[in-house]
Amino acid sequence: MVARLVKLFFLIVFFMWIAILPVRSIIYVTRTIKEFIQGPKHHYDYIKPCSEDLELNTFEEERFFKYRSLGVKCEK
Amino acid sequence: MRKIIFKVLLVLIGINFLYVLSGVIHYPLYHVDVYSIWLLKAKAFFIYGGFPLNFLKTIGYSHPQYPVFLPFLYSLVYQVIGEVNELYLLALYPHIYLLILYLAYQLFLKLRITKTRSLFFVYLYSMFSPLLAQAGREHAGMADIVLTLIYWIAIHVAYQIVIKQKKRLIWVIVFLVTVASQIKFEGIFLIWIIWFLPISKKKRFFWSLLSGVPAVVWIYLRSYLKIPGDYGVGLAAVNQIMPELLVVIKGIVAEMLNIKNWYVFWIAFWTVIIIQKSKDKFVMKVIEPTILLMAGSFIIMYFLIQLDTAAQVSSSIDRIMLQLSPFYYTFFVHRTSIVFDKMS
Repeated sequence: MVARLVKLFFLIVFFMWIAILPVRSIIYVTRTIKEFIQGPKHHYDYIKPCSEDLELNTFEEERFFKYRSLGVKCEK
Repeated sequence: MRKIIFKVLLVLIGINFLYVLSGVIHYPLYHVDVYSIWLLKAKAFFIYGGFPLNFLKTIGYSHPQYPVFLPFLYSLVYQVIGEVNELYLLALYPHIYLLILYLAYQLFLKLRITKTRSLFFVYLYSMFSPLLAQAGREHAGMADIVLTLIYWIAIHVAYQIVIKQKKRLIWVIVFLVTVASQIKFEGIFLIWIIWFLPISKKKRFFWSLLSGVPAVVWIYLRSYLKIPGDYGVGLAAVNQIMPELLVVIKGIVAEMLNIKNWYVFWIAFWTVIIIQKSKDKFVMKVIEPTILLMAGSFIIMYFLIQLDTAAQVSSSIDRIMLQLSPFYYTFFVHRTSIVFDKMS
């Protein structure tokens, strides 16, 4: 009896899993189309090497600046 | 009917591929680890034209103690194209994703699961959020999906050795372990698969030692070249082991209940483990014991790393689960398939 209940529980959970997937696929299709229409969104595109007045407020911004600046020689 | 379902599943997987490709094109360089570890070191290799030792000594947040094989490989891509253009590199990731799905499909066929059902399970796997993320949805550039690919290849090779008795392929497993250990140190945990291959204990010991050599060489080189680490490694006090273990278990359970990343997969996983035993020799004798030992190795690693355990678990467990997915997902598919066979 317990084994049957656990098996039933498994089947319910498994079908819950499958049921949500078509919804996610539709979301992916709409997102992909929207992204191709809107074009790229470059992360931190305001962060450029050699920028003097740049305010870097987070550690992510600081590290992105260091990444972009690596190997760049700034004119003084 | 089966042909129609097969074609629909192919289309759905195709949608996922376009989705991750779109992610690479439209959201490159999003995850902080991508531009502060992997691609940063790749850029350093390219710019400095050789091993960037001085760079590694100064860039503390970049986990300088990590092996550098993957950034070195990425720098070769930059060498071929002549410049640092991240898009060319990141565009590899959706293709790594497809290759992973193909290898998963082929393995399920080898476990005597029908074509349609195998593709169905591949589709389910392709929808794992951590896999989609590293394939292109804002996390392209990370190393964990590369380890996932290596582990799928290793399982295929192990299958050839165990079932087809092609023992000469042990060299390939050793090669894969060395490569994995030089991508991220935890790649060395793949070494456990050697212990479940049909070879003598002496040979298991020998091949394990051999595949561990590059990892030892890198540890020695780091010390010799004085490359700093951004965290220490050491044994926790004995009275701290139980509390730390509870923190680790809590972190793992919390991630398993993370609906955003896994939805109800882990609930289905643990339930199928209760209701159905494995019946395939390869799954029982290789996949299951290997994943147990690899998972145990990760838990021990959490004890050894001298960082706040709760923070360490929460920031890494989803990626570790992605790395180990070739193992646990294979035996989940095998057991679930048996449940469905019994129902039909």
